[in-house]
Amino acid sequence: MKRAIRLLTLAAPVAVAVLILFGGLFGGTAHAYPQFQMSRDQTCTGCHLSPSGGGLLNENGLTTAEGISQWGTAPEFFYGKVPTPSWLVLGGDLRGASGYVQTPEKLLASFPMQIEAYGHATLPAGLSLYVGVGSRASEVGNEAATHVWSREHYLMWQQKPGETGGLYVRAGRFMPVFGLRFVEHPTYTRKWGGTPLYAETYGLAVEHIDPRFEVHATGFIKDPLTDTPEHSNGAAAIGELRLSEQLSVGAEAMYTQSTIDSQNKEQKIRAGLVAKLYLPGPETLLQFEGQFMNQLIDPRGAPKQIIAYLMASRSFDPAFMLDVGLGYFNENVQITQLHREALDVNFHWFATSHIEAIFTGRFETLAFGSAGPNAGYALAQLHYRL
Amino acid sequence: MYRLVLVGAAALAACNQTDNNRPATLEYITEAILQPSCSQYTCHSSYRREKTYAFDTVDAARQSLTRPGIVNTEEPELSLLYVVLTRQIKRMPYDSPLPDKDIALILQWIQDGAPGLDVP
Repeated sequence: MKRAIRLLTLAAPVAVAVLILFGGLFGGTAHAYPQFQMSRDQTCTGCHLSPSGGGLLNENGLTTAEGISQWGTAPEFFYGKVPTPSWLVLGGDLRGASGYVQTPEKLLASFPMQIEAYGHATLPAGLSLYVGVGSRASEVGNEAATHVWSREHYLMWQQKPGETGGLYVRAGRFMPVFGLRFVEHPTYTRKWGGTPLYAETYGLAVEHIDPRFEVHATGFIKDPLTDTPEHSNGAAAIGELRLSEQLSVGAEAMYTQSTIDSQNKEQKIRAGLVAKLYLPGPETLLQFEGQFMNQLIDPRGAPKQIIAYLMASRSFDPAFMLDVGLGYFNENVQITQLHREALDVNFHWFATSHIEAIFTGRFETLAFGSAGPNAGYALAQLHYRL
Repeated sequence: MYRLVLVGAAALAACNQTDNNRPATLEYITEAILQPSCSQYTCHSSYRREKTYAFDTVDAARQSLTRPGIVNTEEPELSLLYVVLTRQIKRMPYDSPLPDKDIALILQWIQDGAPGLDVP
């Protein structure tokens, strides 16, 4: 009995830490799936109100949610039982996960991931207002005031209101538009590639969406109101050209500058390529992003990094999707054995228009197991879209 | 395409690779290792300060690492910073261990007297 109590005493802080960490690691994934691009709709705006994807769905997005799900059900907010005026769109996401984690300690963990609600109000003259409100881990010493926050809130002007293309201008708080914008933020190109979880900040974005090409340019500043994972001012741009209905290629760049102490500044310069290839036969979408990053810390230390991710996604009718991803991250190409690799597997089941169950797993090696312990996780995730 | 990237990365890396001659300074260790690996929003960020430690800026790292026992220049391998990165139970970071060479650089910095830190 004493041994059991002692084990529980030892395990409790570990479990709490894992819960906090993985709640953060996997929390806040509000996006839908870039995997649907090309197989269903060419652009994010085909299904979403935001030009960079994620969050609230438009009418076509709701129809898609119903069409791909096993048992349909009314896809609208609260199944259409809560009518909203035509100028207002409401929604939200609830997520939680449970499973096995090995880093290298072997643990079972369960944690909430996301509790978030969104509203989008259409205003006159092509303007609209987007506000998201959700729960997060609170700031130490300021718990009462920081448990609820708004990750995204911005004013948007759209050149062609009601359509899914044209020019968009956004001002407010949102994630700088960069990379493939995967839902799964542990993917290397998000975690190490400039758009980690909760890296939303204040900025101005100018975006142009067209079935043949899209361009997004964002200027952003260090969040003056709250502390975020990135403490940088900077700019990001990405452009994609659709060469055919099956193939698109693109390029991206990001520059950030931050103050690291009273005397020094740090700069990061990222440049990369993105590509998407849809294979109609096997109904598989291949998505690739490769980044080179030069981090200027001081004259003697300038790590040159490579971050790459390749994901293959296949849909299985009526309601399943399998992703297999390969990640590569080299934190300094000039030093041996500083690279890591990951094999990711996600299996999605779209049970209803609102309910999704996901198995997500990762196996990660450090320099193919020669530079430290391996790590991994296998988690079951439940997602409910309001 | 992934293979091409791997080959390209390996070729690029093989051009001028060295063993581990990176600067063992507080600035470098914070910005290249601790900040990207340990200071995620819900962990050791200045916002969350899990266990009261923050490593997202050099000033925050300096403040956190100056506490007694965290860095022990007399017996570097007994430094709590080194211990938590290498032990099997409650090892940090929780989501993904650090490569041995990052840990070796941190140990080297402690062995050098932890420059940039006023160790008590």
